[in-house]
Amino acid sequence: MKRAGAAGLLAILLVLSTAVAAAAAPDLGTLRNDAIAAYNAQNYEKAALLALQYLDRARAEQRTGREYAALQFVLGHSRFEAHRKAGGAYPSDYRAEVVAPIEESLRVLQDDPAFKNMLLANAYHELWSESGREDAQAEERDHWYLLKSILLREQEARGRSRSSPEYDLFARHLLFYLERCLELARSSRSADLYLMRIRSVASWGFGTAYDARFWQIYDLTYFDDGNLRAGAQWQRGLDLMRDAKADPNETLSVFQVAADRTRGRRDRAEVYRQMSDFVATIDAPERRVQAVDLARRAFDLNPGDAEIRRQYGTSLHLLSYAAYASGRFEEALRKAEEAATFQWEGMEAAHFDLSRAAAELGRETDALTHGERAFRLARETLSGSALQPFAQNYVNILRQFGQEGVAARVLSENPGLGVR
Amino acid sequence: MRHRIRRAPLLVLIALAAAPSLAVAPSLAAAPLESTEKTAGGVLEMAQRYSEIIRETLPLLERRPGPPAVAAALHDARRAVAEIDRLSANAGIYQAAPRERERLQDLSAAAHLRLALLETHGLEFERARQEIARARTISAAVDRPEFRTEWLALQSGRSGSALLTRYNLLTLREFESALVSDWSRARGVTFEFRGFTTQDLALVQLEPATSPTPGTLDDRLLANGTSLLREALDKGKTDFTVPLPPGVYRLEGRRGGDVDRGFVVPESTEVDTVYVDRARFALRFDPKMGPDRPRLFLNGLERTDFDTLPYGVYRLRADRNLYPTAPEIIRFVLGEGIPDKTRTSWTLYVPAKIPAVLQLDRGPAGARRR
Repeated sequence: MKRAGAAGLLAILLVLSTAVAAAAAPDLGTLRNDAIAAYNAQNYEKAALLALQYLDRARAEQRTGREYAALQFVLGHSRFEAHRKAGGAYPSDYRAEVVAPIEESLRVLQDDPAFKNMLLANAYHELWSESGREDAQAEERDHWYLLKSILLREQEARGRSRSSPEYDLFARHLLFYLERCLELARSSRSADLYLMRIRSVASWGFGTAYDARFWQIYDLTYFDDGNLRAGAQWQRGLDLMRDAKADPNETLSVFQVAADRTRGRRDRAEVYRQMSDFVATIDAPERRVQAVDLARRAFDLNPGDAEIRRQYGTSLHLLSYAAYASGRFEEALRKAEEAATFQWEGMEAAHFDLSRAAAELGRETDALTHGERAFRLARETLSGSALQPFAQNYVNILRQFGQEGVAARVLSENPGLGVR
Repeated sequence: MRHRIRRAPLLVLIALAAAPSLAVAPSLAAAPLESTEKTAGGVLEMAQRYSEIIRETLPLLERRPGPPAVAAALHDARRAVAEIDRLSANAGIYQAAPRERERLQDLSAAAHLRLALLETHGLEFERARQEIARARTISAAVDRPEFRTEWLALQSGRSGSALLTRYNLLTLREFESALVSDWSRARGVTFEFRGFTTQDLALVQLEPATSPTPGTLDDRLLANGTSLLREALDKGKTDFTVPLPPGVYRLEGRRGGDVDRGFVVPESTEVDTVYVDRARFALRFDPKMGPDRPRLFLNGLERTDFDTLPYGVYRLRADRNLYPTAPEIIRFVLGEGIPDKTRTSWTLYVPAKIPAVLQLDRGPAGARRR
């Protein structure tokens, strides 16, 4: 479909070209005015054709200078916009036909430099993207021209209040630049340079309406000891995670690449923890198994982290709970036993699961021991209705194994819990 | 009527992938932007900004960057310096006061010095030299005793706390000496291959005995040297010179082939040509010598098997009391020719399959021992 769009654009260009050629050849001044009028009217296809005709004739007459440069810009920008509108791959030489006219124009005509540099950066960005994100030269120029545009805008915004409309606009441009740095860094062999750039300029966005995002990006430069190639991928995963339209598998694959790129155990563990947390929010049985697997990887890498322990324990609890509910008591017991092998915030749930599964399997000692431990641990942190299931479970198990006396004592000691 | 170009609506932003709570994807309206270079003050500020961008690149060098990162940093720095030079050249248009012009020149000179440092890390030593010369031409301030420029930039910081950058500053003289010391790490090593086919040469690999720490100057020098050597061999060149950092290396060809040569690139002394010839020769000493005979070193590595010596440039280590006329260097060349002997260096021609005889006169001390 996209290719058809590009082909369609070519066809339109061809028809227009023939139509324009058929008309009596206008003088250069008229051509220039018509090209600029079409450009201002955002009729980019027509503007590109007219500008091209102007430039061909001007070249033949060996004309150069500002006017020539202005029409080069019209040509390059119009082609850029037309290509964006058409989508798909550019049908011929993008560098020669789009990027070069804009760049050559900018050498001569440096009015509105912030806008023009930004446009040139975007043209190079397109080139870089079309090269499979591997053209290092396009990447360097993409970044440089955008940086230059930001430096020019910063000077304009300097001294303004951070809540002023002028600074707000600058902050949005700056954010655009930082996001571009992250995008480039994800595929770049020179990601460390973007680390330096982000550290240099991110603070210009602090205190603006987008303060949190600026901080988020700035903090990323410390992820995995400044491994921005991994950090940018990690941030991409986090952003996708919060995008309701994103495919979870794509999100996970982005996270996986981030984990693979991470050098330090601690940060790699954090990526796996986040992946587990993300997967746990998807309501599907296979995702619960995946959540445990990811949490286990995180735990293996950094067992000292309380959040990771909690993620691992919670994901095991969910799996054990689901197995119990389906009558797979052996599996429920195994998962609960695994969750009880380490300390974690909320581990009373593991003992609760263990006691219930053990009781179903007739393992009296395990059922009683863990039922009592679950209730005791729960009492340390929970109360009221949150504590009730633990008390009820303990009493049920006591009764199941003929310990009516102890059950009665538990009941009498906890009269307000609603245990039956 | 002349039409003025009205700027088209600004390009649509790429989607800012922000969290919902940080939804910041407003369209970037095309607000008119006034030229930043209207006043001398504005020009100075802009130049300052470009200068800072180069300075803020320097901590990258302490992160052990690979060649692509150094190349990208160089790209930015060269462009930033060009911008500063342009601004400085245009200062007259904005009627900059002498003090402002001087400040611009100082900024420009400092930027050229930072660029010299980056050029050095990018292995562009000649350009680095030129940048220093340019800095001197632009501003005399760089040669003043109180002038300092950055040599090292170390960053420390962590999430939630301020970023600290510590600079190690040097005077220009110190800076230049330090750079010269870096430049001298690249020792030009001349290779000469004889008697090998193009296919043999294409299989030759260079291996360092110990790899330099990744991301260091030596590492980049080695990568560069290896790449140049590869390029030359792939083109079938037999005589060429490539820069390599000091160290011990080995040239290896195809398995079971004749190319297997170790060589040393010394830190400071002259680097001998690495002459690799398929042919071998036998060497006899005349008169026969005992354990005190001179020792022969080929490219820094001692040779003890005198029955199959490779042709090449040997350094002789001999007891001057025993062998007062022994040269320092002996070049064994395949073929027939008249020996060329100076006090320190001999060239001896050794035809194929005929043993070479090395005649060394014994001094009085040697004679007594005899």
